[in-house]
Amino acid sequence: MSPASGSGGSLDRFAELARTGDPTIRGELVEAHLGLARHLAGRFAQRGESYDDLVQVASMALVHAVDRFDPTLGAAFSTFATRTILGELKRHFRDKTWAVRAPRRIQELYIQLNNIVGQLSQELGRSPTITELATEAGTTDESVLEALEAGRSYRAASLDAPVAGDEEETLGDRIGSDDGAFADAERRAQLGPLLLRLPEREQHIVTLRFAAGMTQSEIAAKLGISQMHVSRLLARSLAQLRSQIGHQARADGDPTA
Amino acid sequence: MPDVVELSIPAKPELLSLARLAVAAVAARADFDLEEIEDLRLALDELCSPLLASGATGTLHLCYEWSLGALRVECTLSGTKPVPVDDTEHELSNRILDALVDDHGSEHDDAMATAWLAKRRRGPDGA
Repeated sequence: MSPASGSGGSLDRFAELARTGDPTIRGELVEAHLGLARHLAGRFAQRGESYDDLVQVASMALVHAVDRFDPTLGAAFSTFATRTILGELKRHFRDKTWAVRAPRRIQELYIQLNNIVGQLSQELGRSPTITELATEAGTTDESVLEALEAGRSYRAASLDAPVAGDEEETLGDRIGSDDGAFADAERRAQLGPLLLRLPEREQHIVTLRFAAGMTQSEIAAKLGISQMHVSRLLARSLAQLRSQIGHQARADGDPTA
Repeated sequence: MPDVVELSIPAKPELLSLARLAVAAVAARADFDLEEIEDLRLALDELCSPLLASGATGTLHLCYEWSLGALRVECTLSGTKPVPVDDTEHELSNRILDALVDDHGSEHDDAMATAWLAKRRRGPDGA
């Protein structure tokens, strides 16, 4: 007889599954522990991912745990499964949430902000502050800052897709900055060949921002896209330029590369 | 008296998002507007990326110092031998930083590399 009837019964079923590979037993064991998967998923529910998605991740991990569990090693299945499921949930957050996409709540806020920025800029006649954006969106300063940062990674996958339906011109009358960017035509010319490696629209935006000294809002108005879109395109272009220069430098320095 | 926030992160490019998030948060406190904050985030990338080029190791220390309408950020890479920065890249970085911030600079020796930037809030008349 098993010392503990509950888990002992479960262990017997695992032994039987190992022996027969019966899919009915496999399904039965998975179902018997779905409560555990849901419980663990719930512990990650406050991080911006939908609960249903998390339950799905946890349930998949549970299936793997059932398949991989070895009852002869003497450990309780719940211990093994907890470790497997937690590991999978953590990996989900590490890999997917930040590297590939922002939490849904933040994505939605980002899209909302994209519209609010245009609207507020027009009303105020200047670029809004973070607090003004947060008030208008009905959220906190922190969430706005988080959304702006996440906007980058979120858009990294599909930068050319339109962000929101109506990207209208704003701040056409904004006065240009006097940052002296016109001053040194010769140094500017040196950067010319580098710029040619960017797509045409990005070349144009980088030139307007860094050579003509226009503000992001002015560029946005000129091209009929949102200021936040200009910001994203600039960030991506600069990263691209950096990596190309890096490649070139390595190639120049090492003839075997 | 300016307020000071310090942040130390491993010298990994993927952790620069933390430095950007901090500069945005601090700039919002210093009353910069959205566009200036976006410029600052780009500028911080530009400032730190050369330090982190080619798989640098060690720790990146960031010091954010601000008062109402003014912000200064200093980045120091320590615990590793700084990677020499390619001239073209340095030139490009300087041009970009010129346009994004009011003042910036960098220096390095055998033990550490430092780069800094400073930006003042635009006046109401765009000055």
